Amino acid sequence: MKKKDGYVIIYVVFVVLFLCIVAVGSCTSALNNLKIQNASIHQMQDRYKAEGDIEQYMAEVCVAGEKVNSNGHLYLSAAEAKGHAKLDFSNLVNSSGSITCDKTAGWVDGGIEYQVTLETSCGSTRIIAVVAFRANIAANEHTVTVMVDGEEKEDTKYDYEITDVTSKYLSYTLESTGGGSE
Amino acid sequence: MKKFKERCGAALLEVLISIAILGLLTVPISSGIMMSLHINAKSDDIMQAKLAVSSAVETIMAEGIESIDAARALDLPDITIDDGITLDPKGYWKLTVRSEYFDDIFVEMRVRSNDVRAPEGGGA
Repeated sequence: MKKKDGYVIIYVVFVVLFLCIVAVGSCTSALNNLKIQNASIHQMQDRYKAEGDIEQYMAEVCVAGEKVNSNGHLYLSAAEAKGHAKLDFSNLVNSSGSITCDKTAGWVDGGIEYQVTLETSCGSTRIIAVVAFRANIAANEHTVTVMVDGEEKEDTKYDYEITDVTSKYLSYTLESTGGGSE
Repeated sequence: MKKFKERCGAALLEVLISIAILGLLTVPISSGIMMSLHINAKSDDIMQAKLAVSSAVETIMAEGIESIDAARALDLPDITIDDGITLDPKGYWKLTVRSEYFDDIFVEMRVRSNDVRAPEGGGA
């Protein structure tokens, strides 16, 4: 006859195995959680680095924009001077380094606000921001003396200067390679 | 009676072996579970610290920086601002916002100075 008793140890082994599985499972889950937290810290740093790139770019445009002037050139009319000022300013905005500017940027609001879409990325984060630069473009009148048919005549010409450049966000999109955006 | 005597010996041996196995494995299993609880608690702390840093950065970006003293006077709980805060001549502030509790949770940020912000505001 087969002996039926004496199997206590099997139950103990089952219990021990169960406890082992619980311990390993909980450790694995905790470590995964920690990894996710660390990854999210890196993602946060990437995000603010990208935002910092845009902030720095906007600040640099504003500071450099206030130094834009006609550089001694004089124009026949105030409108022509202002036109050159706008061209110089838009060239300045589009001559960025790591920031990508769209080609559809342009002047709005009666020609005092320059809107542009900026795009930059860092790590898994991509930021697309529509920003506006507001500038005060002044055409200054100058009276110059010119020689016409051997006679001195006074003529009015214009130069330009850009002052009080400020910037603001119009819209802001944050995307990650995971597909999320806000 | 004979059968009982035989069984008693086997059962005692099994119980002894079982106790030995349990005794040997209880320590690593319980320490594993304790470690996972500890790691979970640390993860929570890291998440709180990360949220505090993120919130501080958003506050600074929204409000801007008037001066170094004003930046330090901002009400940013559980946050320190490193000493290297500077205003670049190109019109932006550079600073490092760091968690008070975790040195490796920090953000190196750049933010436009208030002079080049549009008066109606509009932070990131």
